[in-house]
Formats: sequence, structure tokens, C-alpha cells
Amino acid sequence: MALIRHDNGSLEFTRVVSSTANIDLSSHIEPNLQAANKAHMKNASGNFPEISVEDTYARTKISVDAMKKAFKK
Amino acid sequence: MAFFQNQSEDLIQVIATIDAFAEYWELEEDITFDHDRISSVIRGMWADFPANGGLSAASVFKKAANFFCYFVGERPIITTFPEEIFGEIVKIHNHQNVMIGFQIVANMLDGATINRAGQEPIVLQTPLRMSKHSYCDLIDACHSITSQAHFMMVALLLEQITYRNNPDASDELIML
Repeated sequence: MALIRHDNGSLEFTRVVSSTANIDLSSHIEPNLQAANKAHMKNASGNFPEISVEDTYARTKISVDAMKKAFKK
Repeated sequence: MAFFQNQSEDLIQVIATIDAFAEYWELEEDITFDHDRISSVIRGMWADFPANGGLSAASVFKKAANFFCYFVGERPIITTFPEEIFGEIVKIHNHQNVMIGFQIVANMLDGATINRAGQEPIVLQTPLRMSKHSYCDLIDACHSITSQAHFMMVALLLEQITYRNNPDASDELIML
């Protein structure tokens, strides 16, 4: 996986480069929000699923694997 | 983490999807993006929600559409994609932002919940699927969208693609 999760909890993304000066992509800190804050953002019409960063990689991999097959045809 | 809970979470999920896209497509070149533009996309989609009732009342389709339109319109992904992998679609201007923006939207909607008054919440069980032909047409159709001009049309498109894959989630259909 291109993601590295460091011992201090920070996230490092290894396959992307920022064109913006002074942006460090090796030390993103995953927010640890209070449950109350999350509840505040829930809305009446619907919500997106709670997923981890690793879930995002897993979902993207499934999608890319399927598209690769289609694009090779 | 979930989209539209917190702007820091949104930023991490967007960068993670770009990172994963480069990794799993096995792109030789890392993907270069404009961090300021991604931050602008996230600030914009929270601050200027174009539908009646605002962000707090919007469906997942409208929220996803607003993100997608902002993302494609701001064009934060600078790297274009190689023709030897993706073929003719890379000749479409701004293809890279449509492709990654749509990947983020597909990740968002997989497992999303729809609430309707008087009904149990409906969880979208089937990820978005479409033919390669439709996917290429989508890139062509969406390469120059903006939130101001195309938000509702994109929301309707996402809703209909989702309902095609999750027919039980649809409202009752009526004959026209």
C-alpha cells in the first residue's frame, strides 16, 4: 500500500506530490473527533459511510482492478 | 472517517484516493496535485452549498455532486494520465480530474445511507458500476462542469446511476 502509518499516528502518502510549496505530505494527522461533533453533522436526508483511510485504499483497489480488466479488452 | 463530517477528514480522504489511484493503476509517474486547490474544493463544498435547505438538508447525491463539480471545476490534479493504459480518453481535456473525482464519489456512495420520512434508512449495498462505454462518455460529458451550472444535473446523474445498481433504493417509479 502506498500509505504509511507512522508510529506517532501520522499518515504519509507516497505516490502523490504537491505542486504547492511548503506542503508536507508525510505527516498528515488523522483527526480524532468527538462523537458529539460527528453527530452534529449527521443530516436528515442521508449520510456517507464511516470508513477508515485503509478502507479508502481497499475500495479504490477493487474499483481499479475491475477497470483494468475493462481497459485491457 | 466519513465525508462531510470535518474538513480535515475530507482532505485526508481525497489525498488517500489520489494516492491509491496512482498505486493501483501502477502509474509510473507519481500524481502531482495542487494542494491549495484541493483545500479550496473542500472549503467551497462546505461553504457554498447550492441546494435549498443547504448542506444539512441535502441528500448524499447532492453532496456528492457538489464535491464532484467543485473538484472537476477547480482542476487540482495536474498530472495527465498515460495513453498506453487509458487509451483515447486521455485526449479529453481535464480527464484526470473527472476520473479521480468520480473515484472519490464512488467511494463516498458505497455504503451510504438514504433516509426517507416514515421509512427505515436504506443502505446502498452495491458499489457504482457502469460499462466502459458509459464511463468514457461520462469523462467526456463532465470534463468542463462547474458547480454553478451543472450541480443539479450531476446530482440527478449520480442518483440514477446509483439506483440502477441499487434498484430497491429508488423512490417509486411513475409512468411518464
